[in-house]
Amino acid sequence: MQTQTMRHRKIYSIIFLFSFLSPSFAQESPQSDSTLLSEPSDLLMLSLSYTSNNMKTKNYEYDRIPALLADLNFFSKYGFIASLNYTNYFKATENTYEAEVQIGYQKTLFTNFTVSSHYARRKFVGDTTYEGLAQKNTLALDFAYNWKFLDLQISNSYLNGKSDNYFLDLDLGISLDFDNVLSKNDFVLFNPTISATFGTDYWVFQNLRPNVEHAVVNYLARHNFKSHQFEYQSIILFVPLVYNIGDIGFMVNWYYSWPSAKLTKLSWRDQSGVLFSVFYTPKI
Amino acid sequence: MRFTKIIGFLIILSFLGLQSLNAQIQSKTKVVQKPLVLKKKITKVKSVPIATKSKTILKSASKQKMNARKQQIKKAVRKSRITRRPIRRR
Repeated sequence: MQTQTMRHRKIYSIIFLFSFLSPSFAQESPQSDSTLLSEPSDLLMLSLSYTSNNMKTKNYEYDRIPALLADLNFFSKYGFIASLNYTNYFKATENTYEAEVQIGYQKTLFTNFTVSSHYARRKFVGDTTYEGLAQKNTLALDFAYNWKFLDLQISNSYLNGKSDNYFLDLDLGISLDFDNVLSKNDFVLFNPTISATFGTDYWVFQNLRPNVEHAVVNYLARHNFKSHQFEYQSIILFVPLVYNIGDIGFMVNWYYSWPSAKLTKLSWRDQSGVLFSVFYTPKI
Repeated sequence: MRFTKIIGFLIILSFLGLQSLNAQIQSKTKVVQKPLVLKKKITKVKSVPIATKSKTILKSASKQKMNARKQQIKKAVRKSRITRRPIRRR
């Protein structure tokens, strides 16, 4: 009899423990609906893009480098970020692509101030004239502040590769979004952003032999430009327009970049193009 | 023989008695069940506004959930830096 009572007690305690651990098991959850809804959740985003990148440079024999891009981004509810970015330069004479793996963490403080940091490792394969800045490792620290419809961001990044460089990007964006445009489940996002880029210029000389580098430095000096220093480098304008319905989104992004006077002196011209993207955010 | 008759008579009586007793019990339970049925009906009537209320709560909850997801996607689009990807330092 005693053993039976003991057994009953054990069963009751297990049921009680289970109901406490699993709120779905209990008939009435102690949490209110609003508490449950305000809880963040994980987000997975897959995107495929095409860009017509026009790079008007006299140094290269081509001036257009269109590319296909694939991105996989994961945003954890705890603030962790992981992404995989792949770019294929399909117009290159040999198989040319680059891939980057990124891991990071972001934390929102005081509702509209976000601090984020990430590390990225990049691999480039193929025709090196498509490579641009040859970095292998990137370490970044970003501060973003959102005020009403204004987005302000300061991005610091240290790039290590053929040369070591530090960049500072100052962004100012307008974020306008409209919900329920064509259906209850859609939105339109318009987020034009202007970005001023400052950085070291060691990457400009990364592929030059010492004697050529010396000649370029002298040439720039004759035009009152200093070399091997931190300086203003470009102004970039992004104008993305996003339409999202349910788990599917589409984006058209027009961009334009004006290089600094010093980079223009090195026969670099404006960079512009359009980026078409389709992205999918499955429920996980 | 008499003893057997008495036993037989008793068996018949008990059989009849059991039947009547059974009928009585059945009728009693029917009487008892009646208010139970009524109670059930009452609870059903009571549960209608609760169900409507829960439906409204669920509707608003799913709407809130949808809006929260929209906000999350907007943030992800801005954070993913897809827009920046084509711009390269040459």
